[in-house]
Amino acid sequence: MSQKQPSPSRAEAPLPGGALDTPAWAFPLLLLLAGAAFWLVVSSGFSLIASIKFHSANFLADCAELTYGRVRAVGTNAFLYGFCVPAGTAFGLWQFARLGRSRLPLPGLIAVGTGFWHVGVATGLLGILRGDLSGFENLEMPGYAVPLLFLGIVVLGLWGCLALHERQQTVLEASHWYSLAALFWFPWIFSTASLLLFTFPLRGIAQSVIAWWYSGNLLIVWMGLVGLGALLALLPLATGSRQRHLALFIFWTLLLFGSWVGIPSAAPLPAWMPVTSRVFTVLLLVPACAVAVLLVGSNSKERDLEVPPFLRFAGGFFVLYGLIVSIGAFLHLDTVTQFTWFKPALEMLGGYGFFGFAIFGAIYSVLPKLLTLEWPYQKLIRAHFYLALAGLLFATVPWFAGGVVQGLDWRNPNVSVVEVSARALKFLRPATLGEFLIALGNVLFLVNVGAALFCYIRRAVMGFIARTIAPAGVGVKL
Amino acid sequence: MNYGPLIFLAALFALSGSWLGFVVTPSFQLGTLQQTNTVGAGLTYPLARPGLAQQGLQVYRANGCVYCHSQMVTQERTLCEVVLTEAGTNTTALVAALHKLNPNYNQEALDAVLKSLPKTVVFNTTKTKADAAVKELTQTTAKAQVVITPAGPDIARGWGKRRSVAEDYLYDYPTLPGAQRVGPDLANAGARLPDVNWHLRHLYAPAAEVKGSTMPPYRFLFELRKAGLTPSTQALQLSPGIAPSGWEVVPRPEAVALATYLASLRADAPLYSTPLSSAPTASASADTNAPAGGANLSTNAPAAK
Repeated sequence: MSQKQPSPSRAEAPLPGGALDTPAWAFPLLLLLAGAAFWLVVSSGFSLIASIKFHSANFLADCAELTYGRVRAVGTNAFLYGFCVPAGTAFGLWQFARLGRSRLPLPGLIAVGTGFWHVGVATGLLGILRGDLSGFENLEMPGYAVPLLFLGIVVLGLWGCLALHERQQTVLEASHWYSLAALFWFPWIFSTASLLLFTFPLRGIAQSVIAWWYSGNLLIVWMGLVGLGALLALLPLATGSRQRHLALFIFWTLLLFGSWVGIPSAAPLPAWMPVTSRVFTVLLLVPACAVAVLLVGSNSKERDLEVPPFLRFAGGFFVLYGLIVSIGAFLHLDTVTQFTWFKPALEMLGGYGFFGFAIFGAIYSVLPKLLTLEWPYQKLIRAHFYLALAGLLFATVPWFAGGVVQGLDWRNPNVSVVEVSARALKFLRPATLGEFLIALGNVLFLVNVGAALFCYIRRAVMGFIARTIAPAGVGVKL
Repeated sequence: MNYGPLIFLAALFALSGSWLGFVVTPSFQLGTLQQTNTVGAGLTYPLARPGLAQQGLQVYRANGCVYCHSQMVTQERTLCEVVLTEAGTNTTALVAALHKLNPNYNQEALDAVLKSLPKTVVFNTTKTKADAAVKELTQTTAKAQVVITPAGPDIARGWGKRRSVAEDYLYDYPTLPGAQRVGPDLANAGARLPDVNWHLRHLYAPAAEVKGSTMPPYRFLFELRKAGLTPSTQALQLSPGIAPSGWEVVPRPEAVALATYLASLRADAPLYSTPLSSAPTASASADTNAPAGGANLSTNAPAAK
């Protein structure tokens, strides 16, 4: 890739060379993604078990490892650390790598980082099943898994910086800023949180403040950076100079406002903390509206363009998520929806609806170009999209509705605790269908990624045989 | 369009801003929090949980109880009232003062008030106004006091007497305020249900203790032993039909620790950060030096009664 690319943000430039000349960094990156796809299926499997437990309290109740609390923690952590972080990081690395030469130094670093990370995830999830979960929401990984994860992400980030350093095009596009900031943001918040929660734990409720801060930064800022970075890189969004300025504006406001979000308004803290957090939550309206403007502006111009449906919907879900969060905070609706199923619904809308869809779209459109092969099962991509969309609807809509009902019930002291729980179950049970559809879609994703990995390896082996044996005159039928 | 350095600085500024605000400042403001004294009795608060209850906190953490139970009582407002405790000797002046405070009082109502002391005479007021009213009333040789009652849905539900504050979590690691209430809030579980044996029975078979409970049973915290001729002293006293016949249910150490922890949960000490007055009684003087009496002033003393 010696000549400059005019538009690196479009993901259209073909990789150089023939089928066998995929860059050396492609294979470890594929391993990172394949691991992510595997953990995604693990995550949805465990979330499904957790959901089934609401149909029968006795389901798998006699096994300590499969008690609701642990299963649910494995579900969320396998999603966050198994899928989101490696898949998002892989996309960032791909973006930096393709800016430069095809020969980038030390592709083995990706393999090392991938190894540390996925071994860390496995260690952590097994630890949670054993009962070593930390108790901090969205950072349940036990303390002993954290060094492996940290080492993994630092090595991956290091390679990202190397790739960026070796780039041939000096000017970075908006999407590169998003990915670069995400590459630094995660190690910073992750190391801060694990140092202050595991290594030198703070005293008392300060622990929860750190955990809330970390959660907000992970779910809103980091996911926002990666997901929007993917949209900007793959959709024809930041084409004109006006849109580029808008993209930078979103970048700034997301960092500036999003990084303060996450402290619940009822938290047992000095009043300034929840109040500050609420103000910045309301201000999330700014980046949400800006993204809406960006999406609408691009839609009208290039409607006929073939765009992966996952990406189109991801942007919409980001706007929806931002609107619900900020308007809810402005109207103090969280006094009703706090402590209810509204919160998991929001997290699923942001985590799976926005981030997941953006990353699925990115992987589906990038991986064939990276490996110079077609997806083995084209039809499954479409099936995955419809399953994911239906699953998201069937899971989040009952949760949102149930959350409001439950919140109103909790505010009414005449409704007994048993009644509140029983009524909430009526909403939770249909949501199992959504979880099931999502799990099914994730399996299709894994099948496709696994098949691509298999094809890639088979091709590489065949190529190796052809190069080493065939020239010597031995006939090998490929 | 190379805003490189500018963008980098902006990102650094954004991250370090929130880092200073929500990481560094809380670790100084809350991470250095010390024990405090309760209002009134002046007892040290909080006390560290006993060892078994601390082990129970780890069982609570390990099984993810926090996903269904918060430990965070919310409060939406405080009600400030003036309670007349003693009429004193100068009834005429008192009646005049009461009439001034509450012009709606007619003679009958005033008589009723004076007959059944202590009685709330000023409702729903502010602390300043309440203090002024008390001053006026005490000038007539009567005795009155300001009563501050926290209010809100959680408190109305009986989940606590006041909101949770930072001090309540001082000795916990990890702190588990929780984010979801699939079941009830447990900040004052020990105050409501101080019986460790009740908690054990409830953990083994929740629906047997609370009709209609949707909580899953935690049978893996117990072991089944063949019942001998005389029942084991540690075995649970379950209603018939819950344990398989011929077997007795003996709690494992984790179950005992967890139940002790649950019975130790109470956060209802009156603190300066959450004013909470004791219910006034006619006989006791309104002196603040009086020894702690009544449920309102009890701290997280051992809950077993």
